[in-house]
This record gives sequence, structure tokens and C-alpha cells, in this order.
Amino acid sequence: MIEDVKTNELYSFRFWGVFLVLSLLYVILYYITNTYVYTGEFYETLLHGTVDEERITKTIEMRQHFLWISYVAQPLLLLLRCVIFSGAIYTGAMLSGPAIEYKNCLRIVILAEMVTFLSTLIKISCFLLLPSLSPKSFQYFFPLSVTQLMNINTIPKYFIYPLSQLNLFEVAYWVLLAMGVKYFSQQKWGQALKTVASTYGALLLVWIVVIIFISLQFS
Amino acid sequence: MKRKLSMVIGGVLLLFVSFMGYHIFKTIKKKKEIGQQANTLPAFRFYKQDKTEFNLDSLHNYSDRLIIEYFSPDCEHCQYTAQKYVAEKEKLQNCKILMVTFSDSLSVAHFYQDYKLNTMPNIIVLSDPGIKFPGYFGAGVIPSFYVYKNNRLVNKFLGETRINNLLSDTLIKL
Repeated sequence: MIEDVKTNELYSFRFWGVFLVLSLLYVILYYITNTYVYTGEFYETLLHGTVDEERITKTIEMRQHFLWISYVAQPLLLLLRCVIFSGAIYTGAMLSGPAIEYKNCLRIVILAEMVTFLSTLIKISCFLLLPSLSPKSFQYFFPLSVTQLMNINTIPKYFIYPLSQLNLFEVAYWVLLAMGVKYFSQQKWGQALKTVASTYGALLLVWIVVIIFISLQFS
Repeated sequence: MKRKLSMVIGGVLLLFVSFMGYHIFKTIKKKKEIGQQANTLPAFRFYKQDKTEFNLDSLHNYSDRLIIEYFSPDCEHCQYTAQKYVAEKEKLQNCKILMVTFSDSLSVAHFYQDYKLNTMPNIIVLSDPGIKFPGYFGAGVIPSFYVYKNNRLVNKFLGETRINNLLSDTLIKL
């Protein structure tokens, strides 16, 4: 009973309000990232020895020129994730048990998206606070993922992304989605997790397979 | 009805993942085989601009440094590399460079002229109309560079690289 009251409070927010706050947080985070992480020095270290100095300078200039895209893209990508995952959960819930209204699916997803923001925040903070993280190692640094337990140099490049998705943030994302499904469709934990696995999980699997396929073409 | 619909959606997703998984498995296997085969200069077959065939025999047992570049005349990185070839031609005088492309002969002719590649007799521009290059060397990234010496692969670079890297005898991992 107490748990239901708490969950009820957790979902008594307006989607667009949280979406705007999260979008703003993403823009601020990317501003900090672009200012303190992806600096000219970062690219010089990363590309040193790979291409000529003049090309590195050109890359940095080009990046500066198109920097605004990264700020515009954040809210759009967040909205895209919310719309797609909510659509999947809406369909899954409708087919597997009591339907969940689409606006409630949006609430479920945006709450889980806090975890994605948190993981990005931790990754950026680690780079800023840990001087041992070089730009090269930062590329393949995924906090709390199984790749942290492995020697990244021994993993084929096309497997790095799928393995990086096996992380504790992803577990938390699934739990938050299942919590929302459980609350809105009155399903049991097991059934709610099953709904999440067959909707969001299936989409994630398709996405990973597509990414491996594309990466293989460029390796 | 709901059950049937979920089975159809599940079936379609399963079919898609299985299909992609099969292709991924096949591609990994094929790339491994090609990777091993490309450790020594593979028996390639491309075409010169006069449409005559250019193959391994056309190299007449050439054993010095051979740089094979897969390029496209429209690619900015390839255009830059072509400029660097000409600018640093002294450094490259003991190499043979095969520039292979799937582009049409007209754009290749323009590229050859625009970047003054005719000033370098050690560059041969070849056509690969059937896009066989990835099958010989393993990757179809543009630009990509495969450096051979004594017919053995010394280095490969997927993407733009420095001229000095192409001249290195030690394995460079980027």
C-alpha cells in the first residue's frame, strides 16, 4: 500500500515538464563536455600520428563550426527515444495484458531516461576527475559495464558497443521501465519485466544487431 | 487476436535478428579468411584506364614497397592524399602506388588531371568496376591503404593516414 502511494507520487508529473528539464540538463552537460573534454588538445592527442597536423587543425575547426548541431540534437534524440520506446511498451502492454495509456508510457520512459543521463554524467565526470584517462582510452570507457572487466584491446571493434551495453545503468533502466509497467498495468514484477524484455529488450537487440552489422562493414 | 498479433510481431523480429545474425556470422568468417589471404599480395584483377587487365603478373615480381589505395575521386580525404603524393613525391620515389577505384572512367580521368598524378610515373590508377576490392583485401573503406613489401603485408590503414605511416616498416596500430 505504502509502496503504491510512493509509486503514485513518482509518476504524478507532466511528461513535457520533465522532458524540458532533462533536455536542458543534456544541453548544459554537452556544453561542459564540448568546453572541457572535446578540446583542441583532446583531438590533437587522439589523432596524433594518424593524420597530418594541418588535418587535425581542420578537424577541430570543422567541429567548432558544427558544434551547435550537438546541442540541437540532444532534445531531438531524447524525444525520439521516448517516442519509440513508449510506442514499443504501449504495444507490448496492449498485447500482453491491460493496456497502458500512451501518455503514461511516455512518463515511464522519461523517468528511466534519467539513468541514461546519469551514466553520461558519470562518464564525463570520470574523464574530468581522473587524469589517468587519456582521450584514446576515454573513447572506449563505459562506466560500470563488462568492458571495464576486460582488456579492451583484445575485443574486436564491432563487439565493443554490444558489450558496453551490458552495464549496471542498463539494468537500472530495465528495472525503472518494469516498475512503471507494473504500476500502470497492475502486473506482477515478473510479468512486467517480461513485457519490458519483449518490447524494449527486443528493440535493443535489433539495434545492437544493426550496429554490429554496420561496424563490420567498416572494420 | 492479440495472441496472433504478438506472435506475428515476435516472429518478424526473430526472423530479422536471425537473418542479420547469420549475415554477421558469415561476414566475420569471410573477413577472417580474407584477412589471412591478404597477408600476402592476393591474386587481384583490376583494369587500367585503357581497359586492359592489370593483375599480379603485371607487377613483374615487383618486390619493393607497394602501396595499394582504395579511393574515390569524390572523397575529400582521397583528394588530400593525392595532393600529398605529389607534394612528397621524392619520399615516394622508391614505391609503386596502385590507386584502385570503382568510379567511372570520366571522373577518374578528371581526378588524374586535377591532382597532377601524371607527374608521378610510379602511380597507376586502376578501375574496379565489379567492386571486387573488399573481396581481395577485406575492407571496402574509402580511403584505405594496404602496404606490401616483398609481397608481405606490412601495414594497413582504414581511413586517411600520413605519408610517413605508409613508408613505415614497422607495424602501426592506430
